[in-house]
Amino acid sequence: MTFSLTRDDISRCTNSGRTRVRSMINTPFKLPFQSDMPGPSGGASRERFRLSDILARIKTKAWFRPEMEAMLAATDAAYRQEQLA
Amino acid sequence: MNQISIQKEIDAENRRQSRIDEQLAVTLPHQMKRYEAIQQKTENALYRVHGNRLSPQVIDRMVAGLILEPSVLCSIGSSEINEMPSDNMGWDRMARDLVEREPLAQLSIQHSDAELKEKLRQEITAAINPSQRLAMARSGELDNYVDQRVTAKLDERAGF
Repeated sequence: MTFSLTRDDISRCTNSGRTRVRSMINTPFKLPFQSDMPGPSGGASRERFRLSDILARIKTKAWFRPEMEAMLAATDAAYRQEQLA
Repeated sequence: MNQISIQKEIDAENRRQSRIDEQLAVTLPHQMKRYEAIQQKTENALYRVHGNRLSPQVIDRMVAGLILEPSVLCSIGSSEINEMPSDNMGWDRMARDLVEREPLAQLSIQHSDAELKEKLRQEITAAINPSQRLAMARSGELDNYVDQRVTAKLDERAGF
């Protein structure tokens, strides 16, 4: 439940492209993640990252805005609510 | 526990501390104020719920690790989301959840319970007349009697 944010979520909330999200996640070391369980028909597993790790990474960037933090927090809260339901 | 598992525990602890430090380094001053208020309320709740059964070091560790909780991060990072409890009962529930999830806190509670039980056993055994104690020990009734008295005293302390 702690691992909540997908790459798409991070991209949407931080208004960043895939390349920026990838380098944010992989530099200086790859952030820990958990993969979603694949569905019955298989398919690629989605990696989920922790809010704390992502915030620690993005808050040091020059392009960081407070709205991004609020959006990430909202996405994380929504995911946790969904898991509880 | 062998050397490799001890090293793994140490590495996990170091990683946890790095994450806390990283998070504190990027927390803005106004968020820090909210975070400190949450820390204070959680600490109060922990003391209220568990009293001196939890060691102060364990409480400090749990309070320091709050910054890694997603609900705390959401509450301090966004003005629209507040997942923190609004009344004392809510804070107490949160304190119980934290203790359930923290193995060290569980150990601390078990240790203080065992310590208390041993103290009560000694008191009860000392209160029995020596000749009676000897007679009970010979007939094998002493342990049962002391266990029953310890349970009764613990219930009495808990208010049952």
